[in-house]
Amino acid sequence: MPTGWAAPAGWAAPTGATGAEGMLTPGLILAIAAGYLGLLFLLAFISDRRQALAANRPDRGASFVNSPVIYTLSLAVYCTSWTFYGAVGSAARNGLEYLTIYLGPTIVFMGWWLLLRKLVRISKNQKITSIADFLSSRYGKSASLSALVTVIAVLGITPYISLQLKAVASSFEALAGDSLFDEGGVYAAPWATGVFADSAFWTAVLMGLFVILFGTRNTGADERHPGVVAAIAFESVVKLIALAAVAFFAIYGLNGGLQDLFARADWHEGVRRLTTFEGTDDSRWLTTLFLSGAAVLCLPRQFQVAVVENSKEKHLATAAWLFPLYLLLVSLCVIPIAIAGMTQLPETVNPDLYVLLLPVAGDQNALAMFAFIGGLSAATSMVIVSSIALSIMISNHIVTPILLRLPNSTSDRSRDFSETILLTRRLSIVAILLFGFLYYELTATTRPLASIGLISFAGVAQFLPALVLGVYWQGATRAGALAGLVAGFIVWGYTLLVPTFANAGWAFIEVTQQGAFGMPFLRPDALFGLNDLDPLVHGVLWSMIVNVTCLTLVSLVTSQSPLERLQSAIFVDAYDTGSSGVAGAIQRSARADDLFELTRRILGPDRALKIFRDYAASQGLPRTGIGPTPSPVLIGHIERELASSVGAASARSLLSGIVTGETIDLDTVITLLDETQQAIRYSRELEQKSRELEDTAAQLRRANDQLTRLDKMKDDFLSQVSHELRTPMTSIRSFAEILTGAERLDEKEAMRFLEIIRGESERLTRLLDDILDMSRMESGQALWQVGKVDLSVLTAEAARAMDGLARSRGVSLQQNPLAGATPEQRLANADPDRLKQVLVNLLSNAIKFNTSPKPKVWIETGRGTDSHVEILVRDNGPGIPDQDVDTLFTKFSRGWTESANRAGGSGLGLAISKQIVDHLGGSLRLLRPGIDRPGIDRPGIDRPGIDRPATDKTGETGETGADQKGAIFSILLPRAANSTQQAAE
Amino acid sequence: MKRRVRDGAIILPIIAAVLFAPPFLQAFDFGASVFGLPLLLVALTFYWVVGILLTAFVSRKLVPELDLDSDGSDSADGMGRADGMGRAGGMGGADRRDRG
Repeated sequence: MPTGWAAPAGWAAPTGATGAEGMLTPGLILAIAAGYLGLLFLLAFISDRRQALAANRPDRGASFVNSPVIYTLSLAVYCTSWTFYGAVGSAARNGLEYLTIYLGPTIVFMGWWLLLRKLVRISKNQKITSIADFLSSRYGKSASLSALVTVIAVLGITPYISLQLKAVASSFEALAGDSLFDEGGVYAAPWATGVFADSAFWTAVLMGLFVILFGTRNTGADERHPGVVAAIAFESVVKLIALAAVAFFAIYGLNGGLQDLFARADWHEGVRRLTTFEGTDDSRWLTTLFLSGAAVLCLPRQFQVAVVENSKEKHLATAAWLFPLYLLLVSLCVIPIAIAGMTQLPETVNPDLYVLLLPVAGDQNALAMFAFIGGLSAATSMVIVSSIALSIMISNHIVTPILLRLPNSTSDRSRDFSETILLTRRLSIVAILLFGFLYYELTATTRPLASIGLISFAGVAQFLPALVLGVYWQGATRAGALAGLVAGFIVWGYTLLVPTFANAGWAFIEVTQQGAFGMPFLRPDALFGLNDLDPLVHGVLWSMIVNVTCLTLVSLVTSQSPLERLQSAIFVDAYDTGSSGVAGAIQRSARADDLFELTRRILGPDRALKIFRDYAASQGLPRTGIGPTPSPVLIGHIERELASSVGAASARSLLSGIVTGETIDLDTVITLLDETQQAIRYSRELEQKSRELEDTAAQLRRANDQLTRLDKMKDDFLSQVSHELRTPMTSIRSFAEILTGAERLDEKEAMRFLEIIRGESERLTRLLDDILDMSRMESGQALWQVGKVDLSVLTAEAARAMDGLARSRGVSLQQNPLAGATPEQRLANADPDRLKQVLVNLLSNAIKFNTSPKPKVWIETGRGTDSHVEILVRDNGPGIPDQDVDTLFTKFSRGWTESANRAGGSGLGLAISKQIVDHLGGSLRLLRPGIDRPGIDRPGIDRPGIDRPATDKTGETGETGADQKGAIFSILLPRAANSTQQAAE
Repeated sequence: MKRRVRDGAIILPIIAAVLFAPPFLQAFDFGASVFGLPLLLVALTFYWVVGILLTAFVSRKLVPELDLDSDGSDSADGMGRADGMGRAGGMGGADRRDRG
């Protein structure tokens, strides 16, 4: 690393090169330098003009300033004169460590997708103007935070600016050589005295002029400066070519090629350091790698060119590889220059000036002049961009807030505030350059500038935790950021700055040697006994640990204001929430007149008019038709426009003067905060999916249960069928065996057996018929002939058919011929044959199982319903036992006693009957007398007790509480409408 | 494919950070030379160049996604940004990407 521009007398021009000096007089050098700077002015002027033209006529397009290459080259402002001169010096003194300064940014840009892209996206949406504005905006538009960041930046960067001025002065003196001094070593420029003789002064003046001309032409509009960017890009090309030219000269001018260079330099200790890791401190390597990576994001000038001046996100995609390539080329150029300088220039020459003095030593005056211009480019570009960035920060975050607090500042005086802001910026630039120049003057003869570059890096690296955690962790609070910054900055000052001052003999000498308050464990270079680290590593380690710890811990114990929560949500979810995604979050109102007046004062009348017109156009309103009470969306938009000019915090306080009823819609904030809307939507979708899945699973479970039940029913049915089939088969077989086996069987006996066999066969046939019938119906293959049926006719037929059976059993079958019903009311919609089958089945059951001493069976009509006619089949038999009621209509159930029905049917009769009635659209039910139908006990049913059969069921019927014995079957059938629509059935 | 490229864009800097750390570089630090050049410097340059090439490859693939993103936010802004120096200033011919 560079040890600075130490000892002005130390870089005395190399012996043997004096012959060339006559050619490069100070006047000539100054003239060329002035010409070069004039060229920069011209270039910036043309670029600004072209950009303005292109903006007015978009169809012409193609402003070259808007290309990714220009963007990348403007990033190369990273390479200051500290690189141009200092990298070579660092390589000569410390070996390969200088590479880390370029490897850090390389890694950061390779990872642009992770961090830089997000920073650029946020800055575009929020119209961020500087890194201070970014941090303040993230942490609730805090004015104190942006002021703090600005102060840290100014304190950290000003020495760095003075370093550039010093580089220009030193290189000028090195080049002009002894001709500047008279015999006594006194400055003897004939044309100036005092400070006016110092080239650094003139550099500062010219740079200030340049920045004021091109960097403060207007405010706002994303703080882009095309003229400046073009000039910076041009300077980046110049310094790279200059460095490459010197490197080329070192390889081929002073040596016979690259291999020759290495071969001839082998003996030198410094060269060994440059080709191996010998003597490289690993922890230092990692620290400088980290610092340079942090610096390329956090240095105000880098944030300015990389984020604020970025016009298109996709320029990042090009810079991601082009900028590392630039850095690689710079790094490669350094090595041959350093080697040639170490081996071919006298030991006394300051390595920081090898770039300049190698051409001088080789009598290449033109090349030396070119190298000088390269160094001038590197220095001026840094000064230009830094002073722009710092002046924006000072005017937006320190001066404007103070001006706004002054009385009258928010009054209606028609003073144009935009002019004030520009004036503030110009004054800030002058102040910064003056400060830098004074610093340079004060420290001209001492050494503290030595490591000011890296100390500067470490200072701005304090922004990194707040920056990175701010865009990835919503929980980071304003208090946390402030605590981290303050604590980190204090530790940085104590561990890195204090020892530097002490070494210079300025101050803090006692503290550095004894520790603060005389306590050795507080020594700034060995805090808490950590004394075996390199001072830089030590300082960076402590300041970052303290910074991050304070930031996280304080964030965890403090809570955010609603505005902070809103901003943190916007920043962390930058990809999901556009700038207007949250426009409705802040509800507030303002009078349009006030709003316009404010905008006009801050941004000037032209832009104010344009903003309002554009807004009206975008909302489809007439040109002047904003209306007296503009929407929160317009207010939010104007706040962003103001922020682009004066910073987020000031814009907010300006607006708060004229808006009323500002509330932050908590719902919106919470929606943004807890999860992004997309995440919510996604999780809702997931929820719905899982609900659907659950439903499907439940359906499947139900279906599975049903299948299992059906399967079991099928098994039961099969086993019952087999059982039912086996019984007759068994008797048939046994009688058949008797018939075949017994020879002496009398004929009468044999006939009886044959009769039994015939009867059993009939039963089998009947059973099989029923099963077939049933399966036909179940599978829907049965043929139905549905039509109007006169129930009185049908019941009479059924009764007649059963008459024989009833007589043979001594049962009195009474037909109650549907008394009182009109013919129309007796009409049902049914299949007559099937319905008759049902009636016959019910009647035969009633007859066969009636064990009453005076058995009676009735068939009659019931009351029915509006839509259905009813047929009742009653008996005075033993009734149905309670435990059988539920299964009465299932297959093979026998409502009547098992024992009693051996002669009976298949056991399918009631199941078939029920299916038939169901299919006809009616219902077949068993009524419990006196319960289901209280009034049905009338005529015909014998009084209980009289007809009660002496069976074992007596007790159970008693338990039911029904005082009627017997069974009542009710058949409900749909009435036949008079129309013809039944035909469709 | 998209997903892999994005993952690559995230892994790339991590690998670079690891490779550019001393332990890995020291593997080449035994004084050997290639074509008369120190092996360590050659290896470092090689890493660097490969990293640049990979980054270029990955970044090119990611540009379309970037456009979709930023188009989305632009239209969401709903205001246009034709304010003189904004993006209304034309775009370089080299940037103009054919859509579709």
